[in-house]
Amino acid sequence: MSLIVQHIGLHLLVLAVITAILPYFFSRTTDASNKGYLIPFYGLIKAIQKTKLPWWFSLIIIQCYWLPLNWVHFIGIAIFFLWIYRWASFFEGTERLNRLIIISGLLLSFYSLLHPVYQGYTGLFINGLFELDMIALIAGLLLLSRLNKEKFLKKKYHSKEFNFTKYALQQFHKNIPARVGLYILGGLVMIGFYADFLANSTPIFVEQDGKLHTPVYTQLIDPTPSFELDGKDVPYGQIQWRKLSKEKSYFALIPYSPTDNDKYNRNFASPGGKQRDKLGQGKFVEMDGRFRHHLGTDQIGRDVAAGLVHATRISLTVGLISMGIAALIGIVLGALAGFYGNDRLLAPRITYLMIILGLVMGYFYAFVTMEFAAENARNEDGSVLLVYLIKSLLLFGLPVLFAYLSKLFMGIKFLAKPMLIPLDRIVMRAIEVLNSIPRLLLIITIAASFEEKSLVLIMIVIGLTSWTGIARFTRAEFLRIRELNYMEATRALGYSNRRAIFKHATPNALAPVFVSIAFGIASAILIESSLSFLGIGVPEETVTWGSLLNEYRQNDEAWWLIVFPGLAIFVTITIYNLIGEGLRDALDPKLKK
Amino acid sequence: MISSLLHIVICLIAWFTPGFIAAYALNKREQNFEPKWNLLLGIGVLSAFGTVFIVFGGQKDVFELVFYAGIIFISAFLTTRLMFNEPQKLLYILKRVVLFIPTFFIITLLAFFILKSSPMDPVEAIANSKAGKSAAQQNNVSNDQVKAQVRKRLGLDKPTFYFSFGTLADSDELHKVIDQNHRENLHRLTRKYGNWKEINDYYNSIKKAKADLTQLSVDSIYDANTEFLFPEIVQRDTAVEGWMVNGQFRPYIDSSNKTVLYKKNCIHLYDSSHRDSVKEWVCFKKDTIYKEYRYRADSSLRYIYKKDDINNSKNTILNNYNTLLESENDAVVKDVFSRSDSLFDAYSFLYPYDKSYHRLKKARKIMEQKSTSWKNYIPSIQINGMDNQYHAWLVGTRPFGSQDTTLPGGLIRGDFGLSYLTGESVNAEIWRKFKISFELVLIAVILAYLVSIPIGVYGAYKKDSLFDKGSSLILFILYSLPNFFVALLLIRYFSNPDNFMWFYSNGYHDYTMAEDVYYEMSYWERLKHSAPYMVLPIVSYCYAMFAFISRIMRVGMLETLNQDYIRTARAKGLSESKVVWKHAFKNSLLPIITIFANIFPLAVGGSVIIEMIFSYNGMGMASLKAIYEGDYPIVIAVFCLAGMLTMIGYLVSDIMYTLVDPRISLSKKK
Repeated sequence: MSLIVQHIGLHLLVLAVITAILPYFFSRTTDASNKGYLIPFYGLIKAIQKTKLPWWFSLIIIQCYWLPLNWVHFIGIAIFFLWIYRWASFFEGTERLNRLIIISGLLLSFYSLLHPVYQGYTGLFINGLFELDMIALIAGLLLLSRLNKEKFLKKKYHSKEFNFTKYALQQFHKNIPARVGLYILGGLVMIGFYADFLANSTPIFVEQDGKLHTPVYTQLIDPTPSFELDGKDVPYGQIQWRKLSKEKSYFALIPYSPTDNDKYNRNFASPGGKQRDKLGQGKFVEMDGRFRHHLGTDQIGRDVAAGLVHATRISLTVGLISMGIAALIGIVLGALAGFYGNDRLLAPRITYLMIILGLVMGYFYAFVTMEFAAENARNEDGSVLLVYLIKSLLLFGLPVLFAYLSKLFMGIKFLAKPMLIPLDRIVMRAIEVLNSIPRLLLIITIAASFEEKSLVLIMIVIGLTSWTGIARFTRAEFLRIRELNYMEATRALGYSNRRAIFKHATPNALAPVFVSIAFGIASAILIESSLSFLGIGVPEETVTWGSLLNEYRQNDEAWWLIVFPGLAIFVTITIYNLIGEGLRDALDPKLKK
Repeated sequence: MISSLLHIVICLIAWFTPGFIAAYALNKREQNFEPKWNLLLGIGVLSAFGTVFIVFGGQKDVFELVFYAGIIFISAFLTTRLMFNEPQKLLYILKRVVLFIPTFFIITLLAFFILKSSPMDPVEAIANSKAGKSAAQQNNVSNDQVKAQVRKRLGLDKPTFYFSFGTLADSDELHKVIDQNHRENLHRLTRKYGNWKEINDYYNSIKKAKADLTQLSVDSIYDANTEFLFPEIVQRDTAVEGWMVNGQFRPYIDSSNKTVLYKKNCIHLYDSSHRDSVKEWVCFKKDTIYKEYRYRADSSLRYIYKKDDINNSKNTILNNYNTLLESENDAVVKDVFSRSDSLFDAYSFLYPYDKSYHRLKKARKIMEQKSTSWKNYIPSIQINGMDNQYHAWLVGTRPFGSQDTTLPGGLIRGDFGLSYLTGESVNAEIWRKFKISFELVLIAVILAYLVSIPIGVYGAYKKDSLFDKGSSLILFILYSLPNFFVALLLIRYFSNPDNFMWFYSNGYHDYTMAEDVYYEMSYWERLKHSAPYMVLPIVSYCYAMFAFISRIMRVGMLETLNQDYIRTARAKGLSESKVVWKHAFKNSLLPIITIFANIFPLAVGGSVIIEMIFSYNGMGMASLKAIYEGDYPIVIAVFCLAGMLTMIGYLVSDIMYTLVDPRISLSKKK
């Protein structure tokens, strides 16, 4: 089995290397701007073009050329490093070497992503949230590298004993609504993922002078795209694509971008009503069927369907990232509180003092001294990402450093005396405080106090305020687990607390957390749409489901502005609720009779 | 006054009567009655709460009096009963009440610092409002002075907290700067250069230069003051020409390299007798200036600038100064200096203001040269003492024992202070809004319980029947519908003249009716008047609760219905209704109680969106408005109130647990 995985890894690696390196060598199949981007499956696209298949067929081709470029590249990199990890572990006692290789591999992939050619790929995940992509990628790779290699590479279960994971999966599979919900969620994820190809005013393919151009693709990987028209390079923003040549340009399913305003269809053009188009010499005609706004427009003429499609990405991202943050905080705090309780966390006084000092210093250097560092970096074309990296290093590194430094003072008896910290009580008090302030009101207050509106900040704020439920569930599970025999065994074997908590106890405590996360995503999406409905925290030009709903309030004739976004929110929340229920039924055998 | 006295009397009677009655009754029943310290402590804590209520409420009408008296009667009755029957339970409750205090304190700190870190400045909002501007005009003071007054009135000129944690470079004078943008800029400069003294000099020099330039009167320059504006053209030697400006000689041309020093764009030559007659319009060029002037150096010729030029250059430089006051970006500052330089070079009437401008530039240079940015890497703690904003807000400025209600009493006396924007008491405002919201939430919750408990019970009773499955599905769908979506749909179909105009969706009373008239009506009349306004908000509140409550009820009932004692009850031959309602229902009430704790905070903060959609002017609207406008006292009050109510809710549900299920004991021994 491990041999097969290795082979697959090797193949993927080769593919990844090819997709990574080839763009440098091939400039034959490029766009007009001649910047040297590779269009995979060029011949295939060409062949399909020649058969004059309908426009929607292009959507299928996109799948063909996007999937290899993204998924394979990332999966390839991930498996490559896993493979190296395994290979490196042949050396006896080379734990450190392994770590070194993994870290250097991470840096390498990080660097490769910083390269301009790859910025386009990452833009696909979350448009404009490049930094977060990085963090997600690093987190993913770290997780992968932390996987137990035996578990990952060898067959997991040999015996036919009862296996809870398998049982839970079976139970979930039996739950038809939850399964259907999962499928619909997959569809939504695909819509969010391919939003640029589903709704875009730039055509997906344009054939000109016997050459095939892929403007959407170019747009994604090139910050200043231009197109050759009449011998001149015209920036994309100034091109009226629809007037180029109708036969040879293939538009997306919805031929509008979410921020485009159609100046002939302002003031809430109804889906079924008259929609005007201007052609030739200033003549107004009824809109061509292909370019109709099938779900209407809003006040400034933005296409509702395009907005819905692009907002799918925003909503799903908000749900995932904010709950990711919440889960991280909640699981760690809940685990620590449950494991240590009020009576187990014993450490020398000086360690606590130094950690508190380290926290204060970390806060000081990251937020007081470097208060305007990110802003300055932005103004002076520096790397904002680097500033954030340094900030987080300071914030989290200094406490660790100080904790190590506390060893210097161990000689002093008074300072080295062990001290008890009622961690459980502290965490519970924090949960109580957070719970007793109405959550939406708290988020609104924090969001309103930001100087600039940003979706990332909203996600972080939602994450920081909604970890309490997860922490409580994890804590309760840990209170149960810590009394079990195998935890006793970990102590008898002399395992460190860290190992006992994160390696042995946490995997068994996560079942109720999954349920909580699924419901949490639903409520995070609801909070985000509430915020954009109120117009707080979310940038004005960003179209979200909530902001579309809010536009309905300006004109209560525009039923399409309430029905479609409302249904979109409803469907997404229902799906997550269904999945949450399915998980609960599957993971809580008590309910199953 | 009389009514509040009456109120206190009623409260006290309500407070103590049940206690005495219970004590007397128990004394009769059990002769070994001994007053314990618990009794004293309990009465002390509860009367403290009672006093808070009294202070918090202020003037009240009969309805509120009865409401209060009711609450206090019930709580006092329960307390007294507990006191004699289960002192342990009471101790537990007291412990919880004592634990409220730190939690509450942390909430206030949290709220205080979230709002303090927000960029909104209420002072700007007040000073720039219509009232602020008209006040400035009436008292003939500048906008800055108004701001200073407002800051003083609101106590914002004090430091924020007992101590401030910052860098060695930070100064305690920063918060005294009136303008918010200036403060921000000075803060940035401190982070950049770390020398407060020089930064302050620089700041003052800009302000001085700005004040100087403001005195430049466009009209007076235009109206020809010969001495200054039309300087004589003199000849020093034979070769060097220049102007006498205020007795100072300024050459046109630098003698060393023959470049023009004071370049003027254009001059307008005319006869001194009639100025409006344009004689000649000369635009200088480097070579011509010298010749032209020498040629025309007779007294009949004068030059003048266009009025627009004077105006524009003055405003540009003033704007430049403002930019310097508000920005520290190097590129911007450089740009500002170069633009100002060229203006000062071009227009000689700016010459008197040249001096302050150069002083400013020098101050900037000194600031940049004497930079001590290393100070920013050293943390420091400044002790601000008791005279700070948080302390004033917590304790108030009213001396203890004083009856002067115009001074804020502080949080510990139950006084949340005055609203920044309206200047009215936050307590009164919040109480008014809270009543409006609470009424709505209470009706919604009661309705939700009334509808969903039977559904849950019946669903569990007829498990897997069509009713069970159908109601589950419908309620699940309802649960997933976002409430703003539903509220908008409801308005669209039931409060719309095109469809059904059954209900109203704007506020809680006829908008043509004045607020006072509405409140003069009796309670029932008011309720009758408001009913059509309340239907849609109530529906949008409670539809999601249906699913939630009935689901919990159903699960609880399912568990109890499988118990042995239910079978026993059936075997005994009890009627089904008795089995379900008397035996099973009572025992599955526990989870329902948990949700009960959430009702109170819901009235405070859970209704922001619904209240906004229905323009229902309650707590949600008030807090949203306060957040938008930076009216901190209201926001903090809302946070604190919500926190307090949540904690009370949890406590109440804990106590109710023990009432419903005697097996649960609060005072768990370790």
